[in-house]
Amino acid sequence: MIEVKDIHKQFGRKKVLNGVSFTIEKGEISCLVGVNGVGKTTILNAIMNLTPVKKGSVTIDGETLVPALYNKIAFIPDASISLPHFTIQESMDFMNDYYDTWNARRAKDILKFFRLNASDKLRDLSKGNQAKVNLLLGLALDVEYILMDEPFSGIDIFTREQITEVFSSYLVEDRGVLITTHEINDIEHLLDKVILLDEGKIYKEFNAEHMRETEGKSVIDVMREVYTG
Amino acid sequence: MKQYMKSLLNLTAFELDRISKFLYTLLGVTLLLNLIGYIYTPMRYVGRMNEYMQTELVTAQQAIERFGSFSFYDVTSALWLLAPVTLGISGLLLYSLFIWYREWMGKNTFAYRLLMLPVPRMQIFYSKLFVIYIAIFSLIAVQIISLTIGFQIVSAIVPDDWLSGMTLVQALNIHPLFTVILPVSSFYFLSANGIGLTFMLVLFTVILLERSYSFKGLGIGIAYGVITVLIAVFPAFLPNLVQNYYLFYDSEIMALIIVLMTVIGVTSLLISRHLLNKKITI
Amino acid sequence: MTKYSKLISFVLLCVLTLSAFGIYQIQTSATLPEIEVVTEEGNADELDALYFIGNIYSTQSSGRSSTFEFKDGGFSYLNNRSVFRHLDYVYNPVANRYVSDYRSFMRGKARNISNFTETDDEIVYTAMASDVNWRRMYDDNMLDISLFDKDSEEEQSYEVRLEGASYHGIVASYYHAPELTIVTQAADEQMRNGWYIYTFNFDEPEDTLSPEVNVGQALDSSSVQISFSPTGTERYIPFKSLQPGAEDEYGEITDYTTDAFHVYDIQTGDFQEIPLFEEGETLVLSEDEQVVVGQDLGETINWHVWNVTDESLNELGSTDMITPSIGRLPVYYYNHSFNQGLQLVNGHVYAYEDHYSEDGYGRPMFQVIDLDSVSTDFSGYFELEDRENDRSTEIMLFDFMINPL
Repeated sequence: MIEVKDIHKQFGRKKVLNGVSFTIEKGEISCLVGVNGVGKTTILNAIMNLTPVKKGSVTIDGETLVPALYNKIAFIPDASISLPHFTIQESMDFMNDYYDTWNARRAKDILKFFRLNASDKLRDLSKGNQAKVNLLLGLALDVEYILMDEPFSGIDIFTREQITEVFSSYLVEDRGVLITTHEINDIEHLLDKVILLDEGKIYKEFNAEHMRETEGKSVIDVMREVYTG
Repeated sequence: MKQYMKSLLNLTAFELDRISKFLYTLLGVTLLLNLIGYIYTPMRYVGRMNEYMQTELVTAQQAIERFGSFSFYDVTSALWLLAPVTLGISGLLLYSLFIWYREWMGKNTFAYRLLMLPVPRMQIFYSKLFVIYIAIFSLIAVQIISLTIGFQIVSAIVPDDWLSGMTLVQALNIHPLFTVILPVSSFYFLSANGIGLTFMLVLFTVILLERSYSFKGLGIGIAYGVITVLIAVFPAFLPNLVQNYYLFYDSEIMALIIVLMTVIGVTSLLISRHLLNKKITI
Repeated sequence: MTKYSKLISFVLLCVLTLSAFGIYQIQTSATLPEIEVVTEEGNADELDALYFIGNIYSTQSSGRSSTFEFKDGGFSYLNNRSVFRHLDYVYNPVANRYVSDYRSFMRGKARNISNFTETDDEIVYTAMASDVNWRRMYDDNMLDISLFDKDSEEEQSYEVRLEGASYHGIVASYYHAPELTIVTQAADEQMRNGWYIYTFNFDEPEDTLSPEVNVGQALDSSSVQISFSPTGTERYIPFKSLQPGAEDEYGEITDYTTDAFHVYDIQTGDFQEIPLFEEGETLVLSEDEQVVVGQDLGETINWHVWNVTDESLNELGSTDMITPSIGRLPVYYYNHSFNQGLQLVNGHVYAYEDHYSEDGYGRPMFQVIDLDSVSTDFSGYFELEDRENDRSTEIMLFDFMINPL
């Protein structure tokens, strides 16, 4: 379980997170939703120890994040995180050099699934294909938790469909997944938990399916209530 | 431990791969400019001697009295050799900044990847430092090879009688720059490298401060840099402060400088480790 | 393995090149030439009291220069020392011996020969406070005196104000327990340069000292020199009054002739004039209670002892000098002292000359004369052992002292 406990963060004088707490369980797909600038990416960065928090703590299965735990949790950010002059193969080799949990067979499967060519250089790829490589490098790790930041951002509809397929595939099975996205429609039906952020705090935490069944509201409807009403 | 060394080696090899093109360029430019110097400088001397002998109808001995005999020092002090050294030093200095900032530059944020590697983050620090040092020593090695070959070229161009008899090592020993950057005098070489290493540790710390605290970090970093310089040179001003020029022996002043530089180096490493582990921001 | 090939190549390049260069340097480094004492007369053992610092350098290559010292009758090159020992090395044989033997006592003290006077048991340090603190006002006239017991390593320190003049420079000090006689060069109120003698008594230390005598006034001379003192234990201090000679184009006096010799008796505070010889130059040296007067005839020197009671000369005999000028040329070019190349220690006169061989090689030359027998105990010079095959190395002496102990 990833446990985020009372984290506070501010940039300059601006308070971005003001006591955020939630948990991510294995086998669950959770989604952080909120308008731009609400601190979704900051939370992911904070979980991954990529930005310091003023107060609060993050534990993964009860442990504070140390480098060895990067074999247990993967982060797929909204930016290419391999070198542009690398080919996809070189990027995979790089991962293989450092991660004990790199699963070459699975990498091959994903490569095939996304119809990527291992010898292509990253700088020659379209934005959509670069996003696929990012997913590939994250999903091919045998990790227990996966964080994804805006996996659909700026991607065409067909690629989006392909990526959506990932969420219902064995690739995320039994793992704890936390994603942030604006494009909630595509994956709403797959979500176990929705965490709604507003003004630096968790406004509401709910099960999307339960919400739909009991109150007849989609996640977008709830968001609309919070952010516009 | 084995795993630690393996990942450190991997990272170092990886960083070396990234610097290699730049390094090859520096090495190439050094060799090319040196070669021009080895040929042009003695040729100009020989030309001047010949012209003087022909126009003034004097013997070679008289011409030597006029122009002096030719030594390899004349070559080493020419711009053809000094310019590449300056270029190498300034190039590597700029690269020391670039080696960190490129991870955050542009669309590709490779810092994500590096910071999420399941290895101690200080390995990133060490690998970058090692690579800068490999580059420095490669330049030194190539400069030595170049000088050795250059000495033969010069000896072949200038007639033996016109040469001063100065050996390669002698020429380097009296050279104000080469005597420091090449391992000619162990004291100067170790001093230069000690100062250089401390400087690099402080520079990396300043960069990490900036990467952790942005503008505020840059301010803190500059202040840290200034303070470390003041601490390092403080022993040299100690006789003035205690108002007695002979209160401390020079060896004690030197020992104090070494201790303070070590303290600065270790402090920089500890600060860098803390920043990388706890404060660095993507 | 291939991913490491670049790393291995670069590391190998560095290691192999630097190692090869190190080996190359060792192989090509010329071994430092051996230096020997060439005895022309007498026994080289007479030089055991000599301590000097010299330098060898190549006339062909400015890259080759090494400093050596001659001590206890043997040579050693300074290059062979550790960096830390080298840093503390003082290029002054007296101060260097003190730094080496009495490191703690020497801490914070100026390191000029004129700052020290040594006896068998004690060392006396005499220096202006401004000698160790160059930012201090030179005209505060504070004098530091320390008496150091060599056995117990105990030190007594005093700070004393000198009155009667300003901007003092210590020229020499003479110690006869419990009295210390200090000779300074200083400026009077009209900023005229003069010589002053002060006395400090360790049994009755005072905070301020007034000059015992203003040497220039006492000798009625505007230009005075003092005999260079290797021991600081003499009772009679020889002074030489000079007559200014020709001026150069800038109005500076370049030439002086000897006007008169006087000795100052530390015990009585009186001066006695020593007459000049009509033929040849006059030399005046002193040690302990003895004043030795030489009639310098160039090739020979006739030695006499000055009888202070009846102010007469008792002839000792004559010595043939190895060169017509040895010992009689200035060595350090400080214009305030004479006898720089002629020092009287333990009844022996040590004469030095920066001599040159017929083919132009510098060879520091010494002659040691025993005044009891007026015979030469040693004469000879320092030379490269392999001079025949090494025509490009020169020897130069920086500084020397005769250890009286």
